[in-house]
Amino acid sequence: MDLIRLKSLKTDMEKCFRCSLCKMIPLPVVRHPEFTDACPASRLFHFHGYSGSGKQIMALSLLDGRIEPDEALARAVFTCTACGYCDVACKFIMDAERHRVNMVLREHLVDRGLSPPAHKKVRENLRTYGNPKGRPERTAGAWAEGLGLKVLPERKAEVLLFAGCVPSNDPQSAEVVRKLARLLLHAGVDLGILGDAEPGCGLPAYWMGDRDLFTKMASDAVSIFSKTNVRTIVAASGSCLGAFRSKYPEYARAPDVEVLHATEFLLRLISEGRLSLPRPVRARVTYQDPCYLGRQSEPYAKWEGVERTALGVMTYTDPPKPVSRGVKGVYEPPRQILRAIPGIEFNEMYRIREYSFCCGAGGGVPAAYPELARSAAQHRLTEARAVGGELLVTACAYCEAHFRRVQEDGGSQKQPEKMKVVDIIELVYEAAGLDG
Amino acid sequence: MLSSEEIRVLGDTVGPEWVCTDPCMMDTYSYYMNPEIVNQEGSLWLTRPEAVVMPANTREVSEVVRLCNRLNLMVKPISTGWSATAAASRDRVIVLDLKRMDRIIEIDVKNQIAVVEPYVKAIILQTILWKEGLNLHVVSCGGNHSPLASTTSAWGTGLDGPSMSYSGRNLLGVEWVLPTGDVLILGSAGEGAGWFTADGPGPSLRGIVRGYQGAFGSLGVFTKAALKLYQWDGPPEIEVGGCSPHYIIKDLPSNIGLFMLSFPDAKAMVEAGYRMGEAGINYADFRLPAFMCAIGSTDDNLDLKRIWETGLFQKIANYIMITAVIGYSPREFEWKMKAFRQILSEVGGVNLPINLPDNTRVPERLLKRIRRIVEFIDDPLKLLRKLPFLQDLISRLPINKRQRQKNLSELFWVMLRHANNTQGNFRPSQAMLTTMGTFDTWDLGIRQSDWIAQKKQEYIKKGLFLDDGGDLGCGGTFEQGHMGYLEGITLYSSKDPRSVEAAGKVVEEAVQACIDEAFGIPIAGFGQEMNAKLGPHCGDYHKWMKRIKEALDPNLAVDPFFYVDPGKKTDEDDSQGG
Ligand SMILES: Cc1cc2nc3c(=O)[nH]c(=O)nc-3n(C[C@H](O)[C@H](O)[C@H](O)COP(=O)(O)OP(=O)(O)OC[C@H]3O[C@@H](n4cnc5c(N)ncnc54)[C@H](O)[C@@H]3O)c2cc1C
Ligand code: SF4
Ligand code: SF4
Repeated sequence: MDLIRLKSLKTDMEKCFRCSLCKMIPLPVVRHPEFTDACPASRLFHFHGYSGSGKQIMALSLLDGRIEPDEALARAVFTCTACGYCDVACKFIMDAERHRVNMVLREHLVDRGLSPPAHKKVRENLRTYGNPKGRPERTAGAWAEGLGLKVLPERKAEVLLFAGCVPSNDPQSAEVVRKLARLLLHAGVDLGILGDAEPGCGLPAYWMGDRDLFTKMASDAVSIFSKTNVRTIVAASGSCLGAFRSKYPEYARAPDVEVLHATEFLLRLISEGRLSLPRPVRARVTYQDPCYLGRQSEPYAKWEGVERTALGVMTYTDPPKPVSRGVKGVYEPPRQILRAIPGIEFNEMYRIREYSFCCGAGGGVPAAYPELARSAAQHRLTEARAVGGELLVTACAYCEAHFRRVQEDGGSQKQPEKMKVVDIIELVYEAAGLDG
Repeated sequence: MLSSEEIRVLGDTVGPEWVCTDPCMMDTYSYYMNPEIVNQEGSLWLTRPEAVVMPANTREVSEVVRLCNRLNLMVKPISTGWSATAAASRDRVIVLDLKRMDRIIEIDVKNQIAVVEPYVKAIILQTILWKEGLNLHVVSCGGNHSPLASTTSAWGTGLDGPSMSYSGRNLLGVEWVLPTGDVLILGSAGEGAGWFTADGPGPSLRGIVRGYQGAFGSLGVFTKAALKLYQWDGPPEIEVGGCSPHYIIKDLPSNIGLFMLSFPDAKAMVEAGYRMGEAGINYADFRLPAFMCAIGSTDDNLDLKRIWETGLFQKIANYIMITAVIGYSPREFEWKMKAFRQILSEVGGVNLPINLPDNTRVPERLLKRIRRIVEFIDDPLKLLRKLPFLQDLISRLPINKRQRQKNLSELFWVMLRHANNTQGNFRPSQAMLTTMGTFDTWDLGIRQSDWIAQKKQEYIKKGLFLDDGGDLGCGGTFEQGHMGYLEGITLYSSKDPRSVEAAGKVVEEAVQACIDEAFGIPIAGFGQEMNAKLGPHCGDYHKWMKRIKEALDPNLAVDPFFYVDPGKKTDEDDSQGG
């Protein structure tokens, strides 16, 4: 398999000078000594190779013919939650692609048959069932039973609610999407779903380095969306939004309609006066920025230009290459919603927004390296407790289910007490007074 | 390659999961900044270690070092790993990555001492210390470096030099795993009397531990270091808004002033440095050359090119010094500001208003106009220089509050929090090196930077270095102006072999100039070859280094990279009979 895609990123790799800033949050925002680590992998495994920088250097070593793709390399590369923080960290100080190198390195290893065994199974499931877990316990549209929602494209609607794959296997997550649908109906939204024909967004294929599969799933999904003639797609889970907004345009093509996350759409309804939140919810909450709703949902910006030289050896791009620092993710809408709910006491954690700490659910890590997935979640729960949170709110089905499972399993490290984790939609539902 | 038995015994010592020999992992310990200059053939790769081992405590470090003595291996310690001097130099070297040793052992607020392990990062310690009204010296590579590594083993210059000197001055004792594996505690702590001095009543070997630049890990492993702390009159913490790449501080306390000063010439800048130091006004300072000011005020290289070509920076920013003034009380701050203004007006410095519009994204038309105007004006700041009240007046105008806050924030991050690292300097050409710079007097620094600026011109003309005007002398004063330094920075291209070769050459020429012009020991003057060159002019210190290494490390169990290899002869050794 050729190395063309990796080679095209060589200049970026060479820009790493091992400052290790990608292991911690940006220095200006350091506030609490215990909550400064930002790379879950480097935090647990420590050797430099597990950090974002390590992956740049290993990719360079591969290109320079110093190492061969092997299982050790695969382990170092896939013990990474694909959270994209290292990219944000590095771009605080320089204009080099880090996340792209990480992902292309994965793709190269997959091409060489070096995917972790657990991932092979997941990819097979995606290929066969469109769902990473295999044949889903319930069909893709089962969550909507009894709601009387229009099923597209046979019928027409203005807004398509995209549920995502988690609800098919997770009743709690299915309940969240039901609540979202009820909220939208309550606000008078002309709503439709794809029912059992809803495709997978494909994000797990992206995480696991299966470029072809992800590209195919993305293209298929966009074609299905096109047939619905909706004006807006609302993604219930942050993970799907990241795929639609940032990865589809990079790997396939962007959906040709407006794509919003549930929090963005709910906030719109609130500000238009179509949804009100009169009922107090008494809770001290903190908020987990999901990676693929936050930094990894920054819209993909294609660059077309030339590289030139000036002042002897200075290189510059004309027009300047856009640097995506992850700051254009969805950060404000969930926060504005939390602030709009009466009775809520909202405290931020120490690592938020573009420098948020990953919960450990991404990158295919829970399937292949559960100890890493667990350690990240437990560390984040400790932080949530440290800011006095009694309720950890998130806006991504993957994060919510992962936090929940980690606390149920317990693992080797015992947590002091369980923390309740909820999707923000549940709070909106309660505040809107729809829970009876 | 290590034998499986060697790997096993290492694993028995630290736990098998903390011994790694995978080539891919090892390569992440053979890649650092600037290796292409160190490597003769210009390769980006330094030696791949045999293994990386991660001990958790002093006992494990000591056991690994003892094993190395037995098994004919060597260790090379690495803390936060900024520096290429943390790499292995030869076969059979095990890198001791100390990342797991990250405990703050003690903070003695009353006596202003912190005792830390190798992987305690400066910014973490500072975050805790500020809440106690204390601060520590941080070097200007940035707040995520290891104060232990800097204080015990490598260079040590930073922007807070006026108030907290450089790293070597702040060492109050170490716990030291010697190359034999024995553990020695230096200074008062060695006698169980606390860490208040490194000079007794226990053994005092402070000069040997560190010497001038540091031993770069060649004399064993420091597992704890006691650091001298200083008073901090700034805020216990600072509220931050904004987002990457511009995090903005919400409020600057009224007892802190952050300034960007422009001087008409080097003499005026030097004079200001001395006088402010003597008066104890400047908490932190740094001379920013014109090209770096231009880098700092742009977000991409196209803008940098456009703004640099106007010639504006070359006219107003040739002698810029950023300065922080902090007062213990409102009265002290008032007094300091009065003295600050007086010194400024006496030497002809201008306090540049920082509330003027940003340089980025200026329309091409306007840039052309600026270029034309600048051509005809020799000193665009003349009016401000003549009428100092205008400087204050403009600074107070509420014309651009956002811009003012952004610039204040940048100054705060750079000078007080060490949070905006030097990496910006890599943006233009991807490679940067430093040559001169000695812990000496402030005006010697200027002479060095003048020399290197002229020398660089030869290479700039050939298109081998970035045309930054030549003068990239960066640095500041230490210890109330008694000392100072200016590094001679060069921006080159690591992709162009001719540029790399020129970079190597200019380092050698700079070191030679230090001998010829009696400039002192430069920052680039480390490692066996350089020491052998400089030693004969400086008390034959290189011979002493050799003796020290032989005495402390009889089995050569610690990699002598960048220090001295007793078994290796240099040309100078032969010619000097060393
Ligand atoms: C872009 C850039 C800018 C820089 N600017 C500055 C600057 O302004 N001022 C300055 O002083 N330096 C500067 N440096 C050099 C370097 O970053 C600092 O000196 C830093 O303190 C050393 O790096 P570190 O703390 O990460 O230590 P490391 O890189 O881990 O180690 C530095 C040296 O100390 C040895 N060492 C580390 N830990 C131990 C230990 N526990 N026991 C024994 N030996 C040990 C290592 O072997 C190595 O030789 C710069 C470097 C870069 C890349
Ligand atoms: S990837 Fe970026 S932040 Fe990380 S070590 Fe390299 S240069 Fe520094
Ligand atoms: S993507 Fe996240 S887990 Fe992976 S190396 Fe980067 S910061 Fe670490």
